[in-house]
Amino acid sequence: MLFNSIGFAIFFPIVFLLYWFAFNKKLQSQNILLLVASYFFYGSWDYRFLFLLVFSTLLDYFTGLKMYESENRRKKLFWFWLSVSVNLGFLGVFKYYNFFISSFSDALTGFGFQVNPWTIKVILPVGISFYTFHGLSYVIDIYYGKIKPVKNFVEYSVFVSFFPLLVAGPIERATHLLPQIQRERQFDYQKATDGLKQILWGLFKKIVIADNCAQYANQIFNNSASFGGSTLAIGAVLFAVQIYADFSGYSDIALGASRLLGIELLRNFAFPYFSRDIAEFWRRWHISLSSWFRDYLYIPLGGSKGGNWMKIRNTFIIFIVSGFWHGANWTFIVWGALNALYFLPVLLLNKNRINLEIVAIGKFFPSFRDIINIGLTFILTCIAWVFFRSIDIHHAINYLKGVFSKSIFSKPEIFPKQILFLVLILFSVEWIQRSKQHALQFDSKNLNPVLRWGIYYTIFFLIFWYFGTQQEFIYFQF
Amino acid sequence: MKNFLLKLFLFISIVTISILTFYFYYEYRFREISYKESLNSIFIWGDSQAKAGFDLEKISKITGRNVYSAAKGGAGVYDFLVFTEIVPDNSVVVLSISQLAQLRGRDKNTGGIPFKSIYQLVVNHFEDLLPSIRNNLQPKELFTSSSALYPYRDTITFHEPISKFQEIYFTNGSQYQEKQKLFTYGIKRLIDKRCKLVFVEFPFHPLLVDVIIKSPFNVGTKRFNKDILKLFPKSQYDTLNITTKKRMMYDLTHLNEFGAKLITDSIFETDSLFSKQTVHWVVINGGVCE
Repeated sequence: MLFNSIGFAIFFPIVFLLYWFAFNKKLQSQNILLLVASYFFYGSWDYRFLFLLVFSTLLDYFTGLKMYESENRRKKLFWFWLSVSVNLGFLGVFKYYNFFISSFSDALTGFGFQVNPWTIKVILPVGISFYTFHGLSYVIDIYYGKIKPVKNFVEYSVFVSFFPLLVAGPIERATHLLPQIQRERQFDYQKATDGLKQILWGLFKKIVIADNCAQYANQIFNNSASFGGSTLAIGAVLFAVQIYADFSGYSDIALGASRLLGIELLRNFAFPYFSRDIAEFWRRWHISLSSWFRDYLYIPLGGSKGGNWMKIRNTFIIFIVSGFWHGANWTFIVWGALNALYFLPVLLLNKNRINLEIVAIGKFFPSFRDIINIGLTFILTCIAWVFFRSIDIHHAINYLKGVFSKSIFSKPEIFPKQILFLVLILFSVEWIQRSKQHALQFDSKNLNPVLRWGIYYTIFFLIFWYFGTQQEFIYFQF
Repeated sequence: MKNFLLKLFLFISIVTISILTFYFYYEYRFREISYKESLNSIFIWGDSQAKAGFDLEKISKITGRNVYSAAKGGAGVYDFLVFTEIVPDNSVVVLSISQLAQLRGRDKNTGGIPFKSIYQLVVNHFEDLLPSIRNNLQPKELFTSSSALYPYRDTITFHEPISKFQEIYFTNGSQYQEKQKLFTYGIKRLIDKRCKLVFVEFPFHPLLVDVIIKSPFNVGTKRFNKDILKLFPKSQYDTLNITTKKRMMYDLTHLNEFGAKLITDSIFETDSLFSKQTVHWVVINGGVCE
């Protein structure tokens, strides 16, 4: 069930009404409703993988309890590693098995050995990377004594499988989400209307921007050999916009839907394309994943303490693992490594925390320096996105060779004016609203109600206008 | 909560009413052809074969009538039903219901959302209804009066590999009888509207003809043509034998500019074509189409 489908438009209002009208007397019954709704939501993709979700939930629930109850460190460590290895084992089998086997076989072939790799035809269960990371964060936090395990199985299950975040995040933390599931929730008018506005903006980004950009980006990437540099550059920019609008649109819908149910999720995007350097970009892009890796990988590895070699090593590890998390393909690994290369100079020069404030705060226009920095950061991310989008490394290199050729100065074969105009609207609204949590979070006192409602109606109409063939969200494949 | 639900209900109601008003306005203001305009007009329906196969300006010049073509690439039965609802009574209608339009798995179906046609599709359990509605949320002009012909080339262009057609002709035909039922319904609707009908069957490249002959659905689609003619009291089967040394086909299924002009001349210069009594089924002999 996609967020941008008729199915979800029927499913969510039913859950909402039952949640606030029929099951609002008892917290436990509200949580049971959320759990049933979440399993139904997940089962509508492929009910066969529900067992995996339930198994993963049971595993982490019991290992969490066992770890807490363990009297000695050895036992605690046993339960900890059992959970981590089984979780990562599932991820390894379903997501990475074929990649490792074929890479190993390619390597052996390179040394002159002929092997027939035994690959398995396996469908990647939707959201496996996301709910595995939920479970892992819970188990790790218990191991390090940051939280106590949950005794109520329903509450823990809702934490893992809460439907707005189940298939593409944000990747939640037990410390943030569990307390909200455990306490009574009251309907809040302000939060509910804010949630609706965020859903509206998310749908606009997905249906109007991302799906339209996708048409052209796909056409250009799929036939990259037949286009000149200027068209390829447009293709890279359109993909950069597509992936942002697609994924942040999904996150907006997830956050908005969750807020309507009285639950606040972690923010996942903070207008990343207005970043002035790559460190700022990574503080604003897929925040829940970046902070997960920071807390559970980068800091345990020593973080940026220690010497320069330690910093370089840890930076490469975190970015490469982040790339690998996205998928079993060398393109994602190179994408991660490239971002590490962008990030390192900023880190080594101690300039990774100079742009902590919102750009051009209190001003309408950015300074010339900001424009240059934003432009350069965007170009660097676009180059990295080429690897992310390409079929293989060879494709990406040829694509970039095409971009940086003489034909970059030629007239582009494809120039979708209408789409670029819509993209301009997207970034203009986001620029004006960059200090807010999302682009439609207007201060109702300062904005004429006619204009405000006019904006909502226009966005709704645009969504309806472009609501054509449904496209899946890019991050569902991860 | 009450306030929230009330405001939400109001917002959705206003949006729904605005959108419906817009669609009604669009349908009747921009897509309906007025009775006056229709009196001296020819209406064409077909898929990309008809789009590439008729020189609309030339038809207008030869016949002295206005020409409105709803022929589009990937047009399907949904488009056809939309067309039959919009065509005014007593019109002259040229139809090209190709084998591909009957056999294709997924049509583009971008003819708009007239409610009468949707009702017919619901009643007939048409499988592609929801995708068809989704394709039509952006209203588009149904008719055009200007041609979009493929240029003449000495060599044939293979836009689609032959394997794609093999797939259509050998594996895709699961719903063709359902489609034929809907096409028949549309034709009957035009007969009820007292329209004068002409059917045109465009040629294929000989490479594709070999595939068509071996197709398990060939007999079913040919029989459909005969069944259509049975709907009329008087019909005539016309075969155009065109002899030319020049290449007529642009690719495996579409005529090029030269072929389109030649066929337009040959079909529309026939004086008796629009006689009220006889329905004409024009077949273009494929022997010259390499």
